[in-house]
Amino acid sequence: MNIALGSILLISLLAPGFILRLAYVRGASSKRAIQTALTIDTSLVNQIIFSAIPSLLIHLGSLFVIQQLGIIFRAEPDLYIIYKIIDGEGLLAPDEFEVIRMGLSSFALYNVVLIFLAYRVGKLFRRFVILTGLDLRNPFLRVNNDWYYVFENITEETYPQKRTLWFYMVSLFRAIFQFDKHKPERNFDLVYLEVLAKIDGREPVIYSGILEDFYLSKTTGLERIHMMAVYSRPYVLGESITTPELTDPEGESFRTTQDTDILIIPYSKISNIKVSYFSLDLVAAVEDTSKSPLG
Amino acid sequence: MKARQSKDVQKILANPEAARTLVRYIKQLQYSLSTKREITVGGKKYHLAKVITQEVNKS
Repeated sequence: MNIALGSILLISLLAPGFILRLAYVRGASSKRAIQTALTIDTSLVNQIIFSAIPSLLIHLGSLFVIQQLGIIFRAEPDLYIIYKIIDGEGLLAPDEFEVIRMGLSSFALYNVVLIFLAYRVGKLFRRFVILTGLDLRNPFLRVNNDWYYVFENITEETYPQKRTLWFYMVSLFRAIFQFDKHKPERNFDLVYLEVLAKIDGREPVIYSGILEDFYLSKTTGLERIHMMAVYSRPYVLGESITTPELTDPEGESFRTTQDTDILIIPYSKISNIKVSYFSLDLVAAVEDTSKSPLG
Repeated sequence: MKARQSKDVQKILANPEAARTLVRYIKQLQYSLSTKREITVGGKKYHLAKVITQEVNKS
């Protein structure tokens, strides 16, 4: 028997699991995870875990549903013929060909529905994992690029210390109805960076300012960062928190980049990043705003 | 990706002078023992507080 037909059938059967996996890892904050999902050269174990096992579970569940709805479908799927096609051994009898011909449209519909459901379930599971922080506890469930966790300050402290069943139920509800853009609660209003950058042929410079944008990369994790209201100064070797230049922001060693609104620093030029998270709560409006923005 | 910024922060950053003022206040707070400070930026009074600092070494 031609093994091509068996291969096509096998790919069709594995497709829902693969789509579920892809929907789970795919997202704007998951650049590195996408690469992992799409890499062809993964081990057999990875393929089995990430595609075959979800596919098997999906098909088992679907078969159960189809058997329960047997009246509508009028006939149960002939698993022996599916096995025979995949196995590729022996010839199909004429009546078996007739069964295949009759069931082709139903099988196509079955697969389309499953792929659609697998995609939705993958997305739902992704939202649920992000909301509950399960990816922090289990690297196997990790969905985001490492730098996303850093700049969003997503740590174990972001989530309740004791995660109750109620917490998981509320998170599932939020994941289903997509409340709050399915992001965990945050306690900061801006990200302040101090970046040690080495530009070729120049002395190392520390840039400090507010993080505006960050671009993730498939290969290096981070591609570049965009900062606003940036101050720059030369790096003092062995400097510490007691270094006078650091404790006196008005000092001459600070050079403001007055003529630049946004400073773009490629990741390749960065040696070290100190990330601070600040909250800014409005107390009151000041009446006289015309004098000085410095207050 | 857009970094997290509250609406108040976005308003301040829209004014380059106010943005630089905010960064100067942050720098002062960063290297002082205090973790909170009342500041006036862009005609409004705010409570600025440091949540946490973490350092990421590339190598």
